[in-house]
Amino acid sequence: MSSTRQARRPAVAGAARGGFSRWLWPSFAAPATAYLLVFFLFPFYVVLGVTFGTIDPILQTPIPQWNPAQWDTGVLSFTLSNISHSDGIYFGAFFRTLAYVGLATLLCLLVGYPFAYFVARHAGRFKGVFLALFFAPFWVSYMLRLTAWIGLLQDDGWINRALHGIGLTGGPIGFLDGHVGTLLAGLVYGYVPYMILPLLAALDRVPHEHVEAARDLGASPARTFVRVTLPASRQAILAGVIICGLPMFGDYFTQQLVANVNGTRMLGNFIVDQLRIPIFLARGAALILVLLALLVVPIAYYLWSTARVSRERLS
Amino acid sequence: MSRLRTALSNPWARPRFLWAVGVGYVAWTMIPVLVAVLFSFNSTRSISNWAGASLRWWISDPNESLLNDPTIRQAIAQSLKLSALTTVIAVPLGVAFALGLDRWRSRGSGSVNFVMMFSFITPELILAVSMFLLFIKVFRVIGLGTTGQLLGLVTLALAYPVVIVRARLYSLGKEYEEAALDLGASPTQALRRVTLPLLFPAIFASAAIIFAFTLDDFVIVNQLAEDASNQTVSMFIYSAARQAPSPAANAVGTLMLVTSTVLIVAAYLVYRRSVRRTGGGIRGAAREALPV
Amino acid sequence: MLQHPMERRSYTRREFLRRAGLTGVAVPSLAAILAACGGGAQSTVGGTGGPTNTAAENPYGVGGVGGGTYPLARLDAPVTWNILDDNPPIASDLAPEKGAKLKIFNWNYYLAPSLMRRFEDIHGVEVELTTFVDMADGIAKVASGTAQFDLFFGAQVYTVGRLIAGGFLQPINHDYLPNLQANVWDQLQSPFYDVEARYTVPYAIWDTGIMWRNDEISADIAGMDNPYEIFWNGAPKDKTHLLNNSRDLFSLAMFRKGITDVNTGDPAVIKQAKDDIAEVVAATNPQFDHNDYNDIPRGRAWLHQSWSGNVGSAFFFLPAGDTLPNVSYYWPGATPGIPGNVDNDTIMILKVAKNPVLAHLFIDFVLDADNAQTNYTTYTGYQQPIKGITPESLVGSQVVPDHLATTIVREEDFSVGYRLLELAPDVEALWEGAYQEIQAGV
Repeated sequence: MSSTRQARRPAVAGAARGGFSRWLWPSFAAPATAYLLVFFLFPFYVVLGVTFGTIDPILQTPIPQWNPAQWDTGVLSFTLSNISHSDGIYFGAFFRTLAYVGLATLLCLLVGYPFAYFVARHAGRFKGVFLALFFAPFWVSYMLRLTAWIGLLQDDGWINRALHGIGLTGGPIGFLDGHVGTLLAGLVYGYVPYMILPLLAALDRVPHEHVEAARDLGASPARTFVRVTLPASRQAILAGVIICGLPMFGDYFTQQLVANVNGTRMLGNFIVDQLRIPIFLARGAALILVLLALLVVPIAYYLWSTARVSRERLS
Repeated sequence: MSRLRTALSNPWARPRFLWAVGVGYVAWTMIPVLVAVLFSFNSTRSISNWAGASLRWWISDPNESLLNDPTIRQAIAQSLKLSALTTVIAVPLGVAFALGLDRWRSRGSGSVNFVMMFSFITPELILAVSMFLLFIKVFRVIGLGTTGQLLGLVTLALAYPVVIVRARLYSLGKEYEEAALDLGASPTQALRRVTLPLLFPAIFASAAIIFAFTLDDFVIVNQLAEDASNQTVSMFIYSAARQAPSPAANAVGTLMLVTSTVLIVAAYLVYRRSVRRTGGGIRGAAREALPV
Repeated sequence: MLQHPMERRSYTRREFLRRAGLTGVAVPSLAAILAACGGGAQSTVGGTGGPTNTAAENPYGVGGVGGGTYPLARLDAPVTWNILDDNPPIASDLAPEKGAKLKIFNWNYYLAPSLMRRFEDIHGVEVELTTFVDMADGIAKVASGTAQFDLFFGAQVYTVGRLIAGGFLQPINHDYLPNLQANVWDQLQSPFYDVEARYTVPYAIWDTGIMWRNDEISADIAGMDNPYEIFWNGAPKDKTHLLNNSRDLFSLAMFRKGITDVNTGDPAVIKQAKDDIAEVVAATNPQFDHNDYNDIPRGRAWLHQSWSGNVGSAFFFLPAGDTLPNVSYYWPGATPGIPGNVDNDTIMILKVAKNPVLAHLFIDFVLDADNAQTNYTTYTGYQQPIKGITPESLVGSQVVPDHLATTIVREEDFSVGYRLLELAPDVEALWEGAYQEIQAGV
């Protein structure tokens, strides 16, 4: 279907050619492009300017340095050395962040894959219902969803009552007293829909015939899954890991709301806390740079592979 | 495990294991939300201990109910205002961008597209902090506050209409527009009379999605707020949850939930009706945004 | 905290520190923090020296001790802040601004909404409250210069000098404040940190003690030889909470060891306090907050370092008639031989105030004895240092049930309690650096 469209494209482009028309389509893209330049790309330069800037001696606020030749790397090297040394102030938070995001993303996959598989293959005439319920969390406020858990997990909340009621626990479990487990559960709960979204789209498209053919040819169920279904969803797993994992790197409010102790603080917590103190603003900016440097590779890879897949599909 | 095996061996039966997964997942995601909604009707201040139903936090409490607390009313107004303005700005920008990029094929368009998608997937905290520094260090005229929050939300939302509209352009193909051109329409006439009407469902869907998503945004609006008049519903719920949880926060969250749901359902119905007439579907959007 | 070798070579930053030392500093310089992080005993670090010889020449004020670019107020070295030509108080007898929106910046739950509504009715204006989460947050916003508030409530005594020297406040015209002279305690009419109350007016008073659940903690904390010991010995794991600011947190460790100079610049003392707090952190996994008014009654915390007024705040969140029988409060300063913190905070008018006349009138309104009583008993739980208010008369009511009479701060407590005072920027950097290390767990 797309080949015919591709073939015809030059015709339209040709019709649009000419003095006025040559600039027509670029001018359509111009406002948003300008917007992105000013409010998306330029701010990154401001982050650089603040990180490598100086401090106003009177007001004690950072003065951005716009000339790269005069950049002062003091704050960045301070930040990096506090990440790389085991007694640095960011060391714990940095590796905790990697570990928590990694674990939570893995848990999202373990929860999300079976659900996506179920909805795509087995929900039958209830598929629409499940899809609608699946999409609901996307527009239910994240804060309300977390508040819901805060209520349920209190010492006198319904979960503790239920556990006590069926005799599993003697007294209340302090779920909200600052435990990694609660934080991970919160992250998984918050971000798992982003994992499922691409899985659902991919598993929905694995042709039934392929699965049937594999079974007819005598492949065991597990083998069919591993050889047919799983490879067909490999790209979707990658997409899910990225769009589910990336935003977690910037999360700080989940920790604040469900596990507010020093031992669970993530990079995001350090970033927002340092932004509140004028003299530490440059440190917050430096941490943003670190985060960006860390994530730019997966982001770029994701965008590259999206582009590749859609090119393949078109040709 | 044996159930799982059964499920895998006969993927078209009704495997109980996978049904349990499906129902369990939906229960896990939705029941807490329903409980939060329920507790907005609690008669005491607790969000964990049910003490009987009442409308105290909705209308009857003289100071802290949805109806009587000026802070809550202000937060609702600010949320709605920001979402509406974001939609009004981001949708035309994004639709024009999608059209432009769809037809403007060059090296430049590739880079611009890359930047757009990069903004789509960058963690929100990075967007929020870099814009925060922009407004306090460079564009001090704008500063923090409603304008800053709005510009931040537009950055966040800009890519949604692009992705959705471009997917629709793919599925429509060029035939309609070419026919118009063959019949002597100018490119702008073809666009206005043929393409834009065909794109209506996609534009409408993007508007609804942007409105619903930005209504619940927290990181950007919180980072770019200046004073109490910039507080949104999500900020209100957050500060209540951090300091002293109150069913009033659940109530205002519930109100937003209902608003978004009505909006999304309406958008879905409109989208389905108009797409049925012209073919194509929202799946195209997912396909373009996701490498699957 | 680590210091990269690059830092040590960064002479430009040292240069800034020196210049900062000459020109006036609102908050500690980055260089000072970095230097402090590198390893305590640096020559630039020091601080609360003796009375300054050059006080008369200091452009910001007269008196106090040196160590900063502006004088640091001490009980025995009060500071009279200069009124500068380019920042005079407003004229007397001006008419209040019409149809205005009076913008107040304050802690949460720290000003009764009923008072704001009444003021709105009286003057036909709108009062808008914006809250900050802690002192650092509030100061940062005011010092950013972008926040256009009229009134700043709840600024602690240790922030007064930097806000005046930074040019963020406007002097107060006492003609608008008859209630200041008529009602406020004599000892706070002209306090040591702002002689003649030129830029500030006292707001609330409190002492810093211990709040706990007496149904979960069996120890008789009030009867202990050293009540602070409870945090090191018998504090419940996961249910212990500490205050989330460097000053109160490290003072706790210092008071416990009988150290009364909680404004010290001695790196060794600060380091020891940090190590002591780290012990509590390791043993109890504490949360750092000031949500005791909610967390203790709801059982989310069993032991909380607390400000006394927060006990009173708790009642606002409870049904009528609930007197919190399970909650206790004690101020260790009441135990003979044990030091404790007692303090007051302030109300200030910002220089950028758009409604300075209304701001003055609002201050006077809050200093009215009846209004102060309403504020205290119906909402904030914090007493104001107002002559007409006798909290003892409230003992037995829901505001101060018998078993919580320990929360009442008396005028004479100020003569035995120790206060948190302003620090020189490099000293503050030591305190903040240590606090960051606690947060980071190093």
